Amino acid sequence: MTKPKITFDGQTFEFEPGDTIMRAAERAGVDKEIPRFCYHPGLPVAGTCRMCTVEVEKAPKLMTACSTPAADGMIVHTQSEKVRKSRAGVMEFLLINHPLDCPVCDQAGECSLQNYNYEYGPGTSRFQEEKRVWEEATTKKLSDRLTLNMNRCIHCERCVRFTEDVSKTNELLMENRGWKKELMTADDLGSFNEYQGNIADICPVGAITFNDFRFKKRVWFLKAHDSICDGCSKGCSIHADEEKNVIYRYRARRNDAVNGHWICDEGRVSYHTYMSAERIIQPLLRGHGQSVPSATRWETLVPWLLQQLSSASKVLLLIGTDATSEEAATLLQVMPEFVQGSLTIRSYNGTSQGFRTSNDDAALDSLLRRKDKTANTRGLEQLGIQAYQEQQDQGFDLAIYFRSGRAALPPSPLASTEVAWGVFHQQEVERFAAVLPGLGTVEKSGSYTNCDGVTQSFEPAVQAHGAANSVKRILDGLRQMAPNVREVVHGHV
Amino acid sequence: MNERLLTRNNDVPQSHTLSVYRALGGYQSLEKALEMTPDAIVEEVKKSNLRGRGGAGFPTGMKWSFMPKNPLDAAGQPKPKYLVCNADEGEPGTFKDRLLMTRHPHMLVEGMIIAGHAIQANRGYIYIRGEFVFEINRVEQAIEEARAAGLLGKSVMGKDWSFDLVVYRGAGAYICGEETALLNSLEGKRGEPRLKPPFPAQVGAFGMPTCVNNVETFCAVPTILEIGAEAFAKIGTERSGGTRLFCVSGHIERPGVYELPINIKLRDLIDHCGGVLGGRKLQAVIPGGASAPMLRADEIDVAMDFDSLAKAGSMAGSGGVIIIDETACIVEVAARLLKFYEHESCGQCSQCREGSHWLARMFNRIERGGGTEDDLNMIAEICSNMAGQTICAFADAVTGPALSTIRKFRSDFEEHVRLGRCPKKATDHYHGHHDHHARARL
Amino acid sequence: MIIDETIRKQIDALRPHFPSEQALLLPLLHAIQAKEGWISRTAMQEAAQFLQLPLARVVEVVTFYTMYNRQPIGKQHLQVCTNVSCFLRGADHLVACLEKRLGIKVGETTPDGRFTLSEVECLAACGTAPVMQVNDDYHENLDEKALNQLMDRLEKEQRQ
Repeated sequence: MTKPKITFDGQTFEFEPGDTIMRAAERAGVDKEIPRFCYHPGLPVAGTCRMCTVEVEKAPKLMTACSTPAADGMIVHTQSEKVRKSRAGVMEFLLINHPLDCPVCDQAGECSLQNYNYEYGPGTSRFQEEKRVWEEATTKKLSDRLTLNMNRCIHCERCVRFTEDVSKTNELLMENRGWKKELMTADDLGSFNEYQGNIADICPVGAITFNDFRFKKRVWFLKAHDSICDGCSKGCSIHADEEKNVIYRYRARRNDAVNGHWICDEGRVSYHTYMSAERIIQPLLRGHGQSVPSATRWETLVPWLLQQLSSASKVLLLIGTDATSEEAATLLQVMPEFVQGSLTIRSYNGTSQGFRTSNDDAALDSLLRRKDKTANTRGLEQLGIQAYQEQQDQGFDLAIYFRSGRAALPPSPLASTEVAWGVFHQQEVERFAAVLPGLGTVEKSGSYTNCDGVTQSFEPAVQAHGAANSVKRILDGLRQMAPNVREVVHGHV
Repeated sequence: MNERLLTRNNDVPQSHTLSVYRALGGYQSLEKALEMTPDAIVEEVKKSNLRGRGGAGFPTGMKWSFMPKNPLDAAGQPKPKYLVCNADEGEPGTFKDRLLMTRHPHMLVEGMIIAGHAIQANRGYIYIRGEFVFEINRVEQAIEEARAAGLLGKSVMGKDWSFDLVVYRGAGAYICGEETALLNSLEGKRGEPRLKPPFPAQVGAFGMPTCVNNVETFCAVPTILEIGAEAFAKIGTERSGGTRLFCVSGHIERPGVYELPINIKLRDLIDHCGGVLGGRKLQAVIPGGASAPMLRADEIDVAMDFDSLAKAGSMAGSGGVIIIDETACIVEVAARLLKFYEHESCGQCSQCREGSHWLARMFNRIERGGGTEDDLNMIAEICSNMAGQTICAFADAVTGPALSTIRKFRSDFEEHVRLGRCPKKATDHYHGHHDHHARARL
Repeated sequence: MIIDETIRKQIDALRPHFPSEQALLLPLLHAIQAKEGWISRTAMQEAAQFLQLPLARVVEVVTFYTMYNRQPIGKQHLQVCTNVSCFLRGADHLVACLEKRLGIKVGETTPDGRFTLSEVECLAACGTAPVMQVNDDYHENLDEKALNQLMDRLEKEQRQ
């Protein structure tokens, strides 16, 4: 069966039966030629903003690409005079009541209104009336995570459709009709869903902004890096936006095999784990008579660890299920070199009491969130690493906890000497004899296998902070021991 | 000229009751229809050249023929088909459906049962605007009587076909007169028009094939079966059959509903109603409800059928004829109409939501004397950015009064600009915008 | 409980006619307003629960339609049409008369709670303009005299 064909601006492409013109344009890779506000590939079609109208030969009127079914042999013009006039018209109508907030608006730099106005707008304003102004426009909170500035709203209603059809939580609605339509919450700041950040993402303008990011950084300073969220076993694809080695936010990255267009709020703000001022990025060692470990140097810590490993009779290495598969494989392979006594290697999840393997995992809602709060439980299982079992795995004199930052810690000590290796924060380290600062997801390359068995690889978004080091370097350091311990250098991965 | 069909029994006492309606010949057409095949009825209505009396003027028989014969759902089960009566009568200047429902509710019921048979539906809804409390009571009474007499229910007139009607009360939204907005309202939602396609004949009420017609359209059906399609078609023009209930209001001596051949000349219609109020001079006429472009006093030699008025740059619309004499300020009339549209826009489409608001504010400002020449030059262009680019024809309707007044009465606008006030008023007494929707946050 | 047995019965009678619960929302809101005079937040929550709809879907309907009162109003709702035909036949003057007589502006309610004055859109009675709807009843062919007579009668009725 031959596929139906559609022509966009002189170029012909195939499309799938049932496609709208917009969908066919997406398949053809030409959808960026069609501006839009209310259309979003992850939401039901509305067809109300009227920005996506295109000229279709033999059709008497301009047609909205988002809602018009593509027909075999259709000839579409996306840049004709008529289309441009219509777009300029829509832009003018949307701008007449829009406040001149760009200098103070978060959306600047990634704003559809700005971008399209630049491309298609009339250029000047001839509106002489008073602009529509909403009460409390500059102070209203939509929820604990979202701020609403109703003056900036262009009534695309993506937000309402999101809560109706994606999160299915129905918090949002438009009150009234016509020019007085106002975005409201149904329950007045009652509980809101766990996907609020997406609502800020899909708002094409700065009407809805995410409080965690609000006023923090102008987006044109940010560089987007592809990464994977390590907040749970879903492993959503994300963009990690950074400037000068500091991550300012995560955004959802579309991945139809994993998370579609969305990420949850917990994952969205999980970059704080790595950027927090409380994070340990210097080696720590508890000296004689000290109650807590204090700052030291790798040159001191590595020989100490080697000595501990070689002198202990029963060593436990717990690899958090947030370790990358590569790190876990390397640890499996190399660690036995340093241990004279017995070495037990187990994975540790600790999401909740009794949570041990991927069999304990479950969905928390119908969208993305998972019970397992670590990213690589299945990856470690694939390597054959058994999960820690309290009854069987006992009697250790040295316990090393390796983690990337999300796996929980055993609540009580599993050995008389405990060593932390990886991403840890100030409030956790009191119990440890030593802390080896390691790399978080955003600082290393590796791969995670998610709850559905999908393996995703990633590259670092930022360089390691402070003296945090990769597993490879630390193991190299252990191997090369005393004379060559200078190989382990500050700040290099 | 005095051919009254639908309103011939206007003055008969108790004409709204079943017994009187029957005594005057009512339900004989239904009896006839039940002996015909559905297709035969559709053909008859097609031959009559009856065109929708709600405003769009779409040929009724053709609309009925669009209904699928035996629609099946995904599981291969037959889909129910629905008949809907648009009794939302909201077009300013229109008040004929009110009369029909008050005096002749059984005519509506009979027309709907015949239509139901023609499209093979089992259920009909009558969507009546919320303000029509009296009329709703009349129609509900008629439905009760019809049920009791076996004209509605499991076995209509003893036949093997069930059909029932129920009234659905609107709640104050002009846009619900748009058929897809009406369907959304009927489903308990906001009355927002839907994207077309799909059309109601494919996806209508509750996702099922639906046919929506105006009150007067349904009321014409028993007459068509009574006198025959040819006789009906003979009245009017070649493409527009029958009489029409014209609603004449404004500065007219004898306002009211007048049933006349659809192609009566506007000048003759005005004379028929006693001429301009107080013998004053005619200034303008709105020939087909608020959305219809205004005609000047020298443009009234036009026939009132759909095609003639379209050719004259206006529209027959709902049949609401509003007479405006020289004492009125056209700019103020236009401002008043645009305020109406601003209030009634559903707000989905960017151009309509913002444009109706913009034009209303601008015309208000011009009327009060705050307008400039630039404003006058902008109006046509703003309108051109609204018409033909929205989900429904509301935006086009807004441009009706806006464009026709600035084009045909430009000098009046220019006087306002020049004088800095309305030339017809000594002082500014216009009330301006009252936001009385019970929660004015703005 | 705002949705009482009477209202339940009314809605139950309608239910067989509609394939969806949501369709019963407009009739339910009318029934609530007939009883309470307005649609309160509590009423909206009850309606949502009764029809098993999200509250948001109820609120957006209540606020879309002009006839649903979102605040309590006076015992007599004076709704004067000021659309084009009524305007041409003197509706503005009637509004001015009422504002003067009642001492309130359009959109307001008299302090004693007796009258609320509103301007409304076309009531489809243009042939008998100007027209005012008082609660459910149309009053047509009004001039200042007829209006005052009507108001006298309404005030008298309220006192009884």
